[in-house]
Amino acid sequence: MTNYSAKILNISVGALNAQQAVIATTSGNIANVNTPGYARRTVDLQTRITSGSGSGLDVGNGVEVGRILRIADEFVERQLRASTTDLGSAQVENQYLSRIQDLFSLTGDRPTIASSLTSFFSSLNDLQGEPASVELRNNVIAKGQDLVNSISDTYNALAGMQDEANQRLSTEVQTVNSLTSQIAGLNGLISARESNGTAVAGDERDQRDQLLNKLSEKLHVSVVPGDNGQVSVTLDNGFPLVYGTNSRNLEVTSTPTFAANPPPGLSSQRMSYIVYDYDGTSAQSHADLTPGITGGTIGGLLAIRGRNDPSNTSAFQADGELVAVASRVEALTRNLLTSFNTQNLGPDRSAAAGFQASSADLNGNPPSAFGFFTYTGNTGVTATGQPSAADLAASGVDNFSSSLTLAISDPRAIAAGRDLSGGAATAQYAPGDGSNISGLIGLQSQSQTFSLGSYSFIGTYDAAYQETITNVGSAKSRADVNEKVAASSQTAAQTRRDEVSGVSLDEEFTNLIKFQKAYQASARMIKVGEQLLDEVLQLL
Amino acid sequence: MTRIAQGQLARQLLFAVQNNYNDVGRASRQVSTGYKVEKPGDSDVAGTIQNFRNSLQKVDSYQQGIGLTRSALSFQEGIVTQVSDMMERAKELATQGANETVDAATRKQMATEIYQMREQLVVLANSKYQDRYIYGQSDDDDPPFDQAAPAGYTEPATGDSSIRYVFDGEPGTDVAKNVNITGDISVRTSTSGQSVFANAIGALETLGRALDGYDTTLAASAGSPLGLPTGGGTAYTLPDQKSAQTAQIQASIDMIDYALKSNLTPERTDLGARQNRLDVAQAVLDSTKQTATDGLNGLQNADSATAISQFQQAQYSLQAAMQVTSKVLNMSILDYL
Repeated sequence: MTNYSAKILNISVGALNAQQAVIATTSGNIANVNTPGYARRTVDLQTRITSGSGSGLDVGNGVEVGRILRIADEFVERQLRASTTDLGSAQVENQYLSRIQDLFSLTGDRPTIASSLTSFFSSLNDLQGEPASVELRNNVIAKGQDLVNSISDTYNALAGMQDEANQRLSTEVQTVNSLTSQIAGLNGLISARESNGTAVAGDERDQRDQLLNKLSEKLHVSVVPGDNGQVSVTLDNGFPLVYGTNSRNLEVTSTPTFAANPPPGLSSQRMSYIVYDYDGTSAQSHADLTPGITGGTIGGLLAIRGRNDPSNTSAFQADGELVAVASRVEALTRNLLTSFNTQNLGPDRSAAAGFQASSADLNGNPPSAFGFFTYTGNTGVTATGQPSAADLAASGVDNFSSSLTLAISDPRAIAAGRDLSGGAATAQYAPGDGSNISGLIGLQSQSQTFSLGSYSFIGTYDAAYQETITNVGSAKSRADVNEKVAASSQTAAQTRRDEVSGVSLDEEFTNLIKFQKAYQASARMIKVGEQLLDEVLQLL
Repeated sequence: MTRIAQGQLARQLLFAVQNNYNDVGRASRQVSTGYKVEKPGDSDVAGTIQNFRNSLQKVDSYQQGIGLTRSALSFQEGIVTQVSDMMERAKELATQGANETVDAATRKQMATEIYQMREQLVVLANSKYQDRYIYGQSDDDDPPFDQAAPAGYTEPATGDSSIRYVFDGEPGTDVAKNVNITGDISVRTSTSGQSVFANAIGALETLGRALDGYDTTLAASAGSPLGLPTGGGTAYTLPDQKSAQTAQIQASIDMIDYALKSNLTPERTDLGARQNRLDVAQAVLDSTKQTATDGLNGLQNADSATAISQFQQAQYSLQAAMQVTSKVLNMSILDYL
C-alpha cells in the first residue's frame, strides 16, 4: 500500500527544488540582460521517474529538473560572425579612404596638387610677359615651392598612412593571438565540463562565442564545431589558428625568411608580412599567410595598405587604394622631373649625353645642372631627362616625391631665355627673352604619359589629376556603400541573435511570477501533507 | 510571433537614432559650408568639378594677363600716335622748306626745329613701360636707340647735325615678347623699335641735315627704298648746290611718307588688331568663367533652400526617433507588477 501522505511531502519538496531552480535560472538571465555574448537559459522540467514506484494506480512522483538549456543557434552565430567580419573591413577601409580623400579637397579650403599646379603655371604665364622681372621670377620660385610642397606633403601623407597601417597590423595580430589562445583555453574547459555528456558549460560557451565574435571582427575565420564541444578555427586558406586546446601565434615582420629582399614600401619602411614561424626556435622559418587573410580589420588594413608579392621589386607593384593613389602622385613627380627638366634645357637642347642646354638664365648662364625640380640624391640632368634609375637605386627609397624640391632658389637662375647666338662659341642672351618660358607653359596643355606600376594614363597634368580624384572618389563612395550595407546587415544579424538568445525582461518577470506562484503552491502542499499526518497522529 | 529581447530593441533604436544623426550632420554641413560636394567621394563627377575649378583659376590668371597686355598695347598705341602726328608736322615743315624761295638761314632754323622733333621721337622710342624699354623687345634693359658711337656723321664734327641715332639691338637678340591669353593662344606684346621707328628717325635726320646744309649717304638696305643714313655725307656748297639740297629735302619727304605708310600706320593697325584679339579672348574667357561657375553651382554648391529643407526634414526624423526611443525603452513590465 502506498503511503500517500509521505508521497505528498516528497512530491512537494521535489517541486520546491524544481521551482527554485527555475527562479535561480531566471535571476541569472536577468543579471546577464546586458552581458554581451550571453545566451539565455531555460530549465527543462520533466516528470520525475523513481524506480520501484508502486504498482497499480500511480499518482506520479512529481517534477524534476531535466536539463538547463542554453538557447543558442549555431547558424545565427555564424551569420553574426560573417557580418561582423564584413563590417570590420568596411569600417577600416572607409576610415582610410576618408583620410585619403581629405588630401584631394574640392573646396579650396587647403592647397591641393591641382591648385598649386595651376598657380605654378599661372606664375610662369605672368613671367612670360615680363621675363626680366625679379619680382615675377620670385613668384615663380614661390609657386614652384608650393607645388613641390603639395606633392611631397600629399605623397608623405599617403606613405605615412601605409606605415601606420603596418603598425596597426602588428597590434591587431597581437590581439588575434591573445584571442586564439583564450579560445583554445576555453575549448579545454568546455570539453572537461561536458565530458559526462549531459552538462552544458554555458558560461564558457558564452565567453567563447563572444571571443569568436571579436576574432571575426579582426579577420575572416571558419569555425568548425568538433568533438567534446570544442571548436577549431581556421583561416580561409585552411591554416588552423585554433585546434583542440592549441593555438598558433601569428607574427608581423618586414624581414620574412621566404624573401631575401622584400619590396620596399611607399616610405623608407619595407612592406610587412603576416607570417607563421614553423621553426619556433631562433632559426626562423616563415610561412606567408598574408594572401590567405581576408575580411575583418586586418583584411581591411591589408586591402587599403596593399599586398605586394615578396618577389616584386617596387612599392608600386602592390595593390590597394593607398598604393593606387600614391603611384599617381609619384607618376606626376616623375613626369615633372622628366618633361619639365628636359624642357628647362631649352628649345634647341642637344639630345646627346652630357646635355648641352640652349636655355639661359638672367645672368646668361645655362640652367642648374640638377634641373628645375630635383630630389635627394640627384646626380645631374641626363640628356633624356630625369629621373635616372641609378639615382633611384642609390637613394634607398622607392620614390622621388617625398624629397621633391626646387633645384634653384635664386630668382635670377630661372632659365627663361635661350642662347640667341645660333650655336656660336660665345653664347648670347637677352634679359627680356622669355622664349624658354613659352616651352614650359606649353607643357600644361600638352598630353603627357604617366605610368607607374599598374597605373597608366595619357593626358594633360589636369586630366591626370582629375582621373586621380575620380579614382579616389569612386573608391570612397564604394566604401561608404559597403560600410552602410555591412552595418545594417550586422545589426540585422545581431537582432536575429537577440531574437533567439537575448534576454527579454518581460518574459523573465512573467516566468518569475509563474514559478513564484508554483513555489507558493508547493509550499502550501507541504502544509497540507503535514496536516494530514497530524490528523493521523491525533488518533493515537 | 517574433520574440523581442531588451538588447535587441535598444540596438535597433540606437541604430535608427544614429542614422538620423548622420543625416542631420550631413544636412547641417551643407547649410553651413554651402557645398554639397566637399570631397571626391561625395560625388560621381569629382573630376568634372575639379576641371571647372581649374578653369576658374586659369581664367583669373589669363584675365590678369589680358589686363596687363591691354595696358601695354594701349601705351604703345599712344606712342605710335604721337610719333605719327609728329611726322605729319615734320612733313609740313619739310614741304615749306622744300620751297626754293626759302633761304639757307631759314632752312637752318627749320633744321633746329626738326632736330627737336628727332630728340622727342628718340625719347618716345626709348620709352619705358613697367621700367622696361618696351621697344628693345627682349633686349629691354638698355635704351634701344643710342647715339652712334664713337662718332656720328663725317661732317659736321659737332652740333645736332653730327649726331646719329642707331638701333642698339644686338643681332639675334631682337626677340618679341608674347603673353598667353588662353591655353594655347598667345599675343605679341612687343614690336622691335627698328621696324617701327628706324625709318622715321632716319627721315628726320636726313631732313634735318639737308635743311642744315649737309648731304647724307643712304644705304638702301634697311627695307626702305631710300635706305637709312650710313653716317656719310658732306656739306653742300651753297648756293651752288641749292637744287641738290632741295632735292634731298624732297627725298626726305618721301622718307617721311614711307615711314608713315609702311611703319607707323601698319603698327597702329596691328596694335588695334591685337587689342581686338584681346577683346575676343576676354569674351571667350568670360563665357568659360560663366560656364564653370554655372557648372559648379549645379554640381558642387548646395542650393540653400533645398539644403535647409533637407536639414529640417532630417531634424524631424531625428526628433521622432529620439521620442520613440525614450518612450519604448522606458516601458517595463515592472511598472505593472
